[in-house]
Amino acid sequence: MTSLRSLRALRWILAALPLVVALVACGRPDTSLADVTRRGYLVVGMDASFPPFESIAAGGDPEGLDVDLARLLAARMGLGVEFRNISFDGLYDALAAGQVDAIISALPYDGLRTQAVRYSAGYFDDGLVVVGTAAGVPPSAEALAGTIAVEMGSEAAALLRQRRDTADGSLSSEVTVKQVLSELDAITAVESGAADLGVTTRLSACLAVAAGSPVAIGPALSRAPYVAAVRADEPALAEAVQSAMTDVLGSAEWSASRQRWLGEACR
Amino acid sequence: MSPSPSGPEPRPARRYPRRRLFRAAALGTAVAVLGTQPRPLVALGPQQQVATCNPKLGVHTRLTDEVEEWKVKRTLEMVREMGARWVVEYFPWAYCEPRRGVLDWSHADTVIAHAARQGLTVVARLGFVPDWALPADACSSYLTDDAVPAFAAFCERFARRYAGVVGHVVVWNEPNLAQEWGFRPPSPEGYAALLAAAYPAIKAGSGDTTVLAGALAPMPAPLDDPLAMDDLTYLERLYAAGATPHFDALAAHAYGWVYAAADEPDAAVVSFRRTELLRRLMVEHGDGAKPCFVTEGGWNDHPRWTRAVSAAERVTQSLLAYDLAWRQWDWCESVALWAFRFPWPQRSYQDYFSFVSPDFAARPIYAAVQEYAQDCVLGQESGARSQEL
Repeated sequence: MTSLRSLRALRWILAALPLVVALVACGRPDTSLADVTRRGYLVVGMDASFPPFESIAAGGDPEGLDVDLARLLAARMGLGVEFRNISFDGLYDALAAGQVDAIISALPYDGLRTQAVRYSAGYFDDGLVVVGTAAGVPPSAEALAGTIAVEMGSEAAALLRQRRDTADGSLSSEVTVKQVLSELDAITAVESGAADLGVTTRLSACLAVAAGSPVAIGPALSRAPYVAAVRADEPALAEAVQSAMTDVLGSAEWSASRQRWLGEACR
Repeated sequence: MSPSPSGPEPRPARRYPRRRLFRAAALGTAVAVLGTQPRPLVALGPQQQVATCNPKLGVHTRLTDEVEEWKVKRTLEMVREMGARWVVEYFPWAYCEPRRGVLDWSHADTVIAHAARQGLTVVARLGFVPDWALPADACSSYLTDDAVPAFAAFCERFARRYAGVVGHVVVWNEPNLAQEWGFRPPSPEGYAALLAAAYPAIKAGSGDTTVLAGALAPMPAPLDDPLAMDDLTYLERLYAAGATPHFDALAAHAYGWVYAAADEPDAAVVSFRRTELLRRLMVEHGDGAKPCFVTEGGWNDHPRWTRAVSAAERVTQSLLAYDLAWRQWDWCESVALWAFRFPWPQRSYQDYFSFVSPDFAARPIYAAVQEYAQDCVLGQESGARSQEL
């Protein structure tokens, strides 16, 4: 009788063990936000070699859209901001090693990293867009026609080639793809009438328009959102950054910053 | 319970002869199937030939860590279909001899057999010290003086095993970098000693094999840099150390970084034609009869790497480089650009050197090279800028 009772007790203990372990693990306090708040400033990693998102100004300080974004986010969180200039391929390692609290560096969303990283909402979509004359821009990306200029070897060239070869009707056989030596050349081809349309990244289109090109930016062919990244094991900080991001993206300051760095068409 | 005295009727013998016959046949079939050598899942396929207008066109494949044979085969098929005749591939000593005296050629056999079947010419790079030949806490590029004979013996075995199939062997890689020299200061004299041991060993394994001195990292490093030695200085000192009789050809790495393929060579920058400076040194040392092989090189189109160029420039300069080497470098046997395909994403700028993605999607440069290899006519690429890009 006694041994039967012991056996039952042991069974209960074994059954409860995973729950206890899980509770202990989950109960580990996330001090990330408190640590940053106590410190008083957010440490942001960026590769300051990508204007107009981030570069080093003549005085030696970083400047650009991402720099403005980091300052706006930090201000919403009641913090200052310190920038660490790190080569692009080293940014995730710096985040994992705790050298920075967040990455804000025209960083494309990468779905394969979401086990280690929490991303914010996208704040700029640098996917491919159609450019054309104001009257010639098609209403949708499915309605491409005529001669389309793309940079040779680019994602745009690969995408159009893929759509052409797929033969599912996603690209009319009457479309001619004209390969040029740069995205700027693709836009120039549209301006000069050498091409009916161009396909470039949104950033190139924005900068061309900001520099005075008469082309209009049309529908998107792909998405490539830039996001801020925080460690996945620091959920409190990640939520604070996301909350601040939501607030910033709807603000007049953010709109003004976009206008400053990307031009009126992409504010 | 006792058996019934009446009991069941005895079952007539041979009541189900067909069932027994069927069982016997099934057993026999199973024995036959299990007893025979299984057919390979990936057939080598028919003998192929590379169709190309540029006989020097090549790529550095990256099959070292490719596990699945069908991917090895598909990679090499795509190399052939692109019009490249040469492949450079790395065969780590540690993989082929994981324990002292225990040899495992399975992966090397697979790669070399498929390459040969695709009609490709393999340049084999050897290196990577196994644990058993390393001192404690040393990295795989640390070859002690004591381990040199064992490495030379491996080179000899490799040359012998693949005699007549692999005609070119590169001894080590970028020894002018500390990271490739066991994180010790680079030593041309030490490397000359390595060549002196490896060269006769390879020749003993296969007298026809061409022995290439390891490619140097193109590197205008300052004299006091502990992590790297200027490649031109290094080659000068290699000759001074008496290495001349111990290599038949020189491997070279010809990266373009942000410079055009046609840019004049300059000792202060890394550019494609820096290779000509190495060549000049060879000639000055009376070694002009030996050829060069470009075993790595090319341009990168990472959107953020500061040594990268745009996608269009990468295509342009790569084609110009292939063409320039073919038409103007009569001392250069082949140009293998880095890197055809990685087994998995590198998640870094390295991915933007590739021609084909890990899942075999051809990047635009692949199609451009394939088109060029049909008639060697350069299109709009010939109008590319020749200044810094």
